[in-house]
Amino acid sequence: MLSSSEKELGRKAEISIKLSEFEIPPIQDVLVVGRKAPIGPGAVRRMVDALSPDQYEIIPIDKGAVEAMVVRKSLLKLLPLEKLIDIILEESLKVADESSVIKAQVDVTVAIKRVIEL
Amino acid sequence: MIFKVKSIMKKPVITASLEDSVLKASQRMQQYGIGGLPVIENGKPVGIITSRDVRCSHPNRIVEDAMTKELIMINQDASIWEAYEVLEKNKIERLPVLENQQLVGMITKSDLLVELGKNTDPLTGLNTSGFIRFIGETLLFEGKEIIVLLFDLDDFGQFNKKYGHVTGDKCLKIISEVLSRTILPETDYLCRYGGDEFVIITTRMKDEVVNWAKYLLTSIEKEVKNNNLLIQVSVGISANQQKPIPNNEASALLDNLINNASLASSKAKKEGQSLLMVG
Repeated sequence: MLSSSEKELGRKAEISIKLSEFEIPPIQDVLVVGRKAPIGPGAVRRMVDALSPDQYEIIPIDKGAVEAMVVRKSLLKLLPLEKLIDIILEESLKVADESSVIKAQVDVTVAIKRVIEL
Repeated sequence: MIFKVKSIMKKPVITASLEDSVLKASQRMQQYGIGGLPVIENGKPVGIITSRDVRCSHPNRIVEDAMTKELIMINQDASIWEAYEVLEKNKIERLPVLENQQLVGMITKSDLLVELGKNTDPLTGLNTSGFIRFIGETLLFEGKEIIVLLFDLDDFGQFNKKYGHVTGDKCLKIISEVLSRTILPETDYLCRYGGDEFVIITTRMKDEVVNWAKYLLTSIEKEVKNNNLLIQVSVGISANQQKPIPNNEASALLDNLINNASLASSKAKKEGQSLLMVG
């Protein structure tokens, strides 16, 4: 605290700005919502409906630490839903708990080999 | 009618919406001193958020993600006994009340306990006459055939003078226990009507009732003897065979049935019998 004989000479503020593009949709390919996470599936649905309508599917999970998964619909053209859920659940539970919200980037490559008659 | 949910429900109803935050819902509960808010969407109840839901959820969540979605509700014309049964069966504390699918009130377990307490006999734990009147009038209005059985103790005043009121009370408790053990849910409705009188309203068939009443008398006799009590019980039975009647006539008809059963019981005593059926 300044005494009565002292005077404040000046005050400065330094501002730092970082600009980057907002990622749309912000949740990438899959979002795993924990049962006690700060947001629930209802809030996530409202968010994706507003930001990326018709692009995601909300999959409720009945039991365990995960309450729901939000999956990009286009992924489901490449993989059956059950298989995708099993893999994501198995992996996400290794790094997350019921209070977490985890986003996952999922790259799927379908390898096809065919033999044709010449 | 005072025994209907609508007569004691709380209104207007304090509600929450799906997109409210859990924190806001919790603050509203605190502000109004209530433990749960029905959640409304497009004017219709879609869930309920309770203080327990709030405790189990992150405060950043929206109500939609924290509420209990299995909503159990009750019609405003249901009886307080029905409402209490629903609460007990589902282990919940409060019920939204509906009229034509619209939310019109809330009722809690404590509201019901207060009202039920007024209609419970402290000695025997049985319902009092208000209950039997409500049930009787409802059944008559629904067009059900009912039979009224009125049990009373012979010379109970003299018995009390001779053996004391504590012994008299013991007698009443024994009889209430025997009758309680024998009644069937949804078929027989029992109350301590007053003093030494117990009333059962039953929807059993007439032919079956006489044998059942005899069995009840034998069971009571056996039980009082086992307790070294010297008292006899008489039963008067009156039957209604009338088809659906207007609600405003149900009360008078029930009065007649109970009165006839009472007179039948007195007549049985005079004639040295223990059972008489009229109507």
